[in-house]
Amino acid sequence: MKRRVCMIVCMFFLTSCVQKSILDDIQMVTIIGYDLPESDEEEGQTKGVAVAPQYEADGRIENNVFVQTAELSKEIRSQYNSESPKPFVSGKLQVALFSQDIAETEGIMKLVDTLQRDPSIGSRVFLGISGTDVETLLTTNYGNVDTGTYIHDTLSHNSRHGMLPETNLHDFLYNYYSVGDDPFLPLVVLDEDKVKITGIALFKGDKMVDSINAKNLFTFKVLHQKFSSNDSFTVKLDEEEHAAIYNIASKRNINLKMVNRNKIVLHGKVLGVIKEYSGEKLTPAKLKNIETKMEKDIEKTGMDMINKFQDLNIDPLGIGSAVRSVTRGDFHEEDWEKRYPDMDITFQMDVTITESGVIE
Amino acid sequence: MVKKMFRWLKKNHSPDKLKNLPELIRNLQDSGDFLHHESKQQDSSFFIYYFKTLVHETELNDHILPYLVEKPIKTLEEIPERVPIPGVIISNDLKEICEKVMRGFVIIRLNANAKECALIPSQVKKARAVTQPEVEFTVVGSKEAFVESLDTNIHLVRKRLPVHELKAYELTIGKLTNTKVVVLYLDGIANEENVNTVKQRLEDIKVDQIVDSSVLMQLITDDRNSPFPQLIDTERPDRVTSVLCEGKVVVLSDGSPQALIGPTTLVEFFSAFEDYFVNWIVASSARLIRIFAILFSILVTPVYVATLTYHYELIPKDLLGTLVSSRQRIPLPPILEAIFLELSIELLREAGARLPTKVGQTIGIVGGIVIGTASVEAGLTSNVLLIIVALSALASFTTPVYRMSNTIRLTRFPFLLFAHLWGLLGVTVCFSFLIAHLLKLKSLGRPFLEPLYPLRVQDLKDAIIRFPLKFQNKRPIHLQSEDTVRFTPVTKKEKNDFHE
Repeated sequence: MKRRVCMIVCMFFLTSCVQKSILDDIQMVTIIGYDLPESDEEEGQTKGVAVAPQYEADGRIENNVFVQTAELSKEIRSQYNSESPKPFVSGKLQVALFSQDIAETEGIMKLVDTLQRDPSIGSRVFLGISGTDVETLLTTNYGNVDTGTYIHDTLSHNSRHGMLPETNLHDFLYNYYSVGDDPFLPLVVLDEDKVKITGIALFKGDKMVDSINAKNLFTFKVLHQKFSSNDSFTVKLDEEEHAAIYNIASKRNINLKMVNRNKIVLHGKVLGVIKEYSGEKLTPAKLKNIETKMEKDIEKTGMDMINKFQDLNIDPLGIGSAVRSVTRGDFHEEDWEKRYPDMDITFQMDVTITESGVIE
Repeated sequence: MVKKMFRWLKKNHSPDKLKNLPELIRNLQDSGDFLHHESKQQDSSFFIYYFKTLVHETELNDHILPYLVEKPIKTLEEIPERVPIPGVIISNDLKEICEKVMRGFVIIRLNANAKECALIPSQVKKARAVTQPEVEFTVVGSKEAFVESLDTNIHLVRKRLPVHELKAYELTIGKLTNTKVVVLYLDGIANEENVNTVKQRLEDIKVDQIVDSSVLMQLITDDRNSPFPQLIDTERPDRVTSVLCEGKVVVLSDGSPQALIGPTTLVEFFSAFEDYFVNWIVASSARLIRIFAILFSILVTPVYVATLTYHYELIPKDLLGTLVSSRQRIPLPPILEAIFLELSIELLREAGARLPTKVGQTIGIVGGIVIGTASVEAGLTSNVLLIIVALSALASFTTPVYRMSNTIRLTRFPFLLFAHLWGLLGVTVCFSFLIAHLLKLKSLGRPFLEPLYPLRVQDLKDAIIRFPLKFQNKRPIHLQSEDTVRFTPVTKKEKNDFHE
């Protein structure tokens, strides 16, 4: 009995040890953007742009934008608090954007670090690189939605069903830290009053070095991972005649049998459906023709891409990591980095068109 | 002085203190409904005494008196022979006489000073007719419910179980009410220990009044300080029959239309008797819905409070706007908002229960809607919480045993408090307290959480999912029945009548 009373008393005394954050008394940041400061005297500092939606009782959503400059990103947060009527919390953060400038010059790891260290931020937060000025991108009104959710949804459905490979905080960190793997992030720009994904930013370490255009993302995705999506690939047979092939499922295989002789073969396999065809009649011979043309096209862009990766000595496809997984004994990162640019990597594509529509 | 008065009262009321029969009769004559009458004949006369409110007067006039006056009575011993009614006794035991006359016996004396008398039973049996069950109404199945008369109730069970193994152990409890209580069990099926436990506990009761079996329940229950009922009360004779066949013990009390069933387990409180009337798939899904409803009812408001107070991260982003904008104008923190709504629902329920007719419930519901809408419009509560609280109240009423639904609604409040103090951690802590408490509970000495703990796979056949009847061929282990086998299922190959 004494123990019970003791326990209950303790419970009541301990209550103030937990920090309360009542839903309507907090400022929930849904998207945060980092950029280099505009003026030169703030050199070495970072400009942070945070957007916190304010939900009105009548259903309107207002996006409050906070802009502050400081050296550390947590310092930025305490500055936000000084101009906000409610305390800032980061638990609902959905997207973190970095300007292309900051990604190319300073690297983003310093800023990603604060995201991964905060326990209230989930690892499914989307990261992205902004081609336009971050502040302009985040102050734009995208309609009666909160900006964070809007950009999050744009990225999310494209990586689930569209052309983007999966890129969230977890994936980024995994690729960043794992040996023989380099991260990549989606590249977005402001297109009038919409956010548009223009491609993928490629990283070496935490610095952006190059990008892939959205046109070539189909090939990149085939090379990168197994997927199935609604993404389409257009095959141009000649000036007049072209076909749009939708991907049903794709697979990639890395043949590492000849890795000791510095030869790696990538196999890509795509099952596709023709959804649009501008020519006259789709004969089996024509289908074969389309298949081979598509194989050629993808192989070509794929090889260009791989060569570019080798020139830059980056490995977003994770070939190094695949090699490491089949290497007995020690795998030396330095060794591999020396070998990688000179590797003979070939790419073979295999396209199968299973359906060509109902009209025959 | 007071002590003296009490002694005097005792002296006058207890038959032990009265010296002889004439004195007893003089004492009884203090009541206006105690009649006495002298029948004078040529050479013999007799005196007749009875309570007119307890005696069936037509029966007395038509079937008893004619036999007494047709020939002069010489001795008392003639009376049992002459009157064609069983149960006529001759006694000089004052205590017995007093008890019998209070139960509607007629006293016959041959002279005014005789110390011995004949007692003829002629009770008036006024009881409500057997009606439909109101608390445990089922669409299919028997429409008979227990009434206040013990004999009728036993009759309702006996006619369903016409076997000699059905024993009805009778005892009287209550110094003043002298309530007849009957323990029903199937000899050779019910565990003897269970039967003895019930008998022992009933015999140990020392109270002055037992007005209902619910009182009895509180007196014989295992843990009196638990909000959880540990015995099921039912008004359905068919349910009683069914549990008797399982090997349980049933207690019936005179004047109460509720039978007590023991030993029980927690899952039984969530199984309606109707579950046995419908197909096992339908029944099982109903049970799953009920279990979901219970958990929902206990946890949903606390989780709402915890999430809104501490864990905004858990709210899905699509729900965030709805929640925040619904709480935009509300000055109260989530806990006060929740308590305000929970209390108003409790008020409505309590008011509805106290109102005399079923109209009261309708008014209660209408009142609920009006109050709810008004408080949302006034900005006192958010409409999301209003929905949650109303749903959880509704969910608590899905429990088939009324007593349990009260407990469920009560359990919510500590959860709310803990949710406010510690968030989801508090909810977890409170839930572990609840589980610890349930683990400790016993029903007639048998574990209350069985078959979940101790895990008895065989008993799971009729717990969360009700398996088909052919699997119910063994009696539950937790009843420790003397005869574990109910029946041996016959598997016959069915004729295939499809012409393929």
